[in-house]
Amino acid sequence: MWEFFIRSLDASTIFTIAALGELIGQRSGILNVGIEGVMLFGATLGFITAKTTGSYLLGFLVGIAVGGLIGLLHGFFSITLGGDQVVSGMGIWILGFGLTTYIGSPYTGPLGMERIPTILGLSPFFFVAIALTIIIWFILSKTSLGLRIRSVGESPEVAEVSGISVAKTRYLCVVGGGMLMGFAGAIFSLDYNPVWSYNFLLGRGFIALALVFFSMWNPFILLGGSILFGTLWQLSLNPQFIPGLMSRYKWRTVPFAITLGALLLMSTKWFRTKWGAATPEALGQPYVKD
Amino acid sequence: MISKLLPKKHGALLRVIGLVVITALMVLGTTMCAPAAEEPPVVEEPPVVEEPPVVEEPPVVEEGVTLAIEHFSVIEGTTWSGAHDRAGKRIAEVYPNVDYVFREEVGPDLTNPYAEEMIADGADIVIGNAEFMGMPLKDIADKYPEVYFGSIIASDLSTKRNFIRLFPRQYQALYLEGLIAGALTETGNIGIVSAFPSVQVIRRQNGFILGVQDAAALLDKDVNIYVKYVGDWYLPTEERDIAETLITQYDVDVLTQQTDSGSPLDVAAEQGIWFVGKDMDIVGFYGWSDTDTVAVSFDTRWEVLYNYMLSEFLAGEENPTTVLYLGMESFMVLADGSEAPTVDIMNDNKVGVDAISPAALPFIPDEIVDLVEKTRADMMLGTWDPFTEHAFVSNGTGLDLADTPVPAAGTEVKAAGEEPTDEWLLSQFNFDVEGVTILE
Repeated sequence: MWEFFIRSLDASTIFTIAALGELIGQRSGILNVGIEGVMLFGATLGFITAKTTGSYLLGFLVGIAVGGLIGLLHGFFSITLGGDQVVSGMGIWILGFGLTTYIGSPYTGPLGMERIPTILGLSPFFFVAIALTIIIWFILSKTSLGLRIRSVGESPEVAEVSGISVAKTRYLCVVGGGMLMGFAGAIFSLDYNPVWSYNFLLGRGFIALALVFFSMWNPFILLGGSILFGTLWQLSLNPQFIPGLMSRYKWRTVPFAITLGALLLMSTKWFRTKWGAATPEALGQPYVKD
Repeated sequence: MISKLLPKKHGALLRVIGLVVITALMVLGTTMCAPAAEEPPVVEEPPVVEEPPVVEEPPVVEEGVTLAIEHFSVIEGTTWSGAHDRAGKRIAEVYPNVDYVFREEVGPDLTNPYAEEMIADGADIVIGNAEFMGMPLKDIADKYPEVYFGSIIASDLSTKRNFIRLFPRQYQALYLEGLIAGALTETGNIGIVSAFPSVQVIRRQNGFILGVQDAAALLDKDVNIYVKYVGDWYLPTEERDIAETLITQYDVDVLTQQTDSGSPLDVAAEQGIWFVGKDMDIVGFYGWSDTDTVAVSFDTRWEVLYNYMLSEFLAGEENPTTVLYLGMESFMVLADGSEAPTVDIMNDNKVGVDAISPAALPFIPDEIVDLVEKTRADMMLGTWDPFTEHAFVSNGTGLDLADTPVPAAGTEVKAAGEEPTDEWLLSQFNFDVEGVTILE
């Protein structure tokens, strides 16, 4: 039973950190649907670095740095050029899938390094994820920086006339968010499953993207959603924990069904009336300074 | 429906977001939630299964011939496409006038466009290295009567005059692996991380299981074999989770896989248990691990099958053998003069009993080592086969085919000493043999 919960929490760690990166960007008004691609870059280059240097630290640093660079690229298209954020994000996803397959294929196989020590059987990154959740909630809710981020995500025009640089704030968020996505990818390839093979994320970036909407842009709901999704995922592998209820294949559909349900719920009049304020008003809209 | 429900203010954005997320989830749900569908066997033309001769000496190639392989995945770092690619290269090394060309990551929608492109460039033999993407070649076989087409067999056995189906008798090497695994286990629990029930998977697993059971009987041990399905050939994290489950919950101390990622191997190394490999010598060829973890593996030499096709092509055979199911009795002389049987146990570049890890060997009783040596030699002579030798008694589990339900538990489907037909083995062997535990 304990192993089951450990694996559930370990799985939720990846979702949490990647989704927090997306959440930061979205609170500033920048949508990045290419989260899977950013994670693939971070995971692959982090893995290659660790394997060739024998250093976990360098692997994680490269994963984070690469995530930041991809975030910067997304920022250039969507902030400086004012391009369509969805198109830019999809481009990053496709680029990530193709390029990491090309770059990483020679490194297929196990990492071959001593595993990162656990804490009470749990990955240390689970505790990092909790800390990041608290820090990001604090920044967004209790600091002037958080107020600036939320302002440019709600009404960039008003923020600009208030003396806030929309472009700088959004760049800060999109690069910081990319770093977290790259970090999540590196955790996946260096700690969660330290074996490289092509397209190994198999859609976890999209689950993280869905989690942000599911969370209504609240870091704590996001953390809870991650743990829920991680647990459901593990149930699909070990349906014997609740014998006779559902087959493993049905369990595996539950996170997707919940996400679809959440999307439908968010589109109802009731939700918009009661919770509509949660949505960053300017999300996805390019801002052009007059 | 969603777009109608969306607020006007955010309508365009949320429509796009919704469509992206829903599309991605639908794609993922389709690929990750459902077990890979097994195509029912469609035998359009009765296959002619002939006993192929052993090809020892390569014929002289006067005119240039091009062998084209379409790989369903990337080549580098993969045991399946990696072995096919090595086979193409070995063929080109043996025959100076034979060129090997290839395309990677070919899906079924691209099989024929790429094939026609390569034919236009001079390809004479075109192979699809997986059934799901090799089968479309059948549709263009009539258009290019001079070209030989080939596709791997998973469960379908349909053929045409110049559309050849091929697969190696990997179960023979898996039987030898089973003998070693059965001798090695101290807890008496062996685990298989497996893809999904299909004729190909079940047949290969059964070879391994029979070997384990023979070792257990010889050594008077109680051995349990646990199979847990992942749902597809390639789900790295799920394979890891299932490998860990087998070890922590079922006390497995020998692990093998019928999946494609390196995760089970990595888990075995971490947990300090024995791993038994498949498809390629993962220690010697890729260096993914060492013989402290990998007790034994097996290696598949597709070049023996390609060589057979090439020999018939060069002989001008207009009606080539359309089903090739070669085993350890068939081999090819490589460019370096060594003889490579279609399959063989192999580990750290050593074959036969030498392939047993030096670290594992002290734990394997002599009678098992002798049995491995003897049965391997007999299989190479073609005088013994585990599937002929053993009775097939159903475990009551497996895969219901359209016209062939899984036999009830305890049903003897085939008597010991009776040789099953190749057609039955390749398309109808749909049940686990008795004595295995299929976990939910």
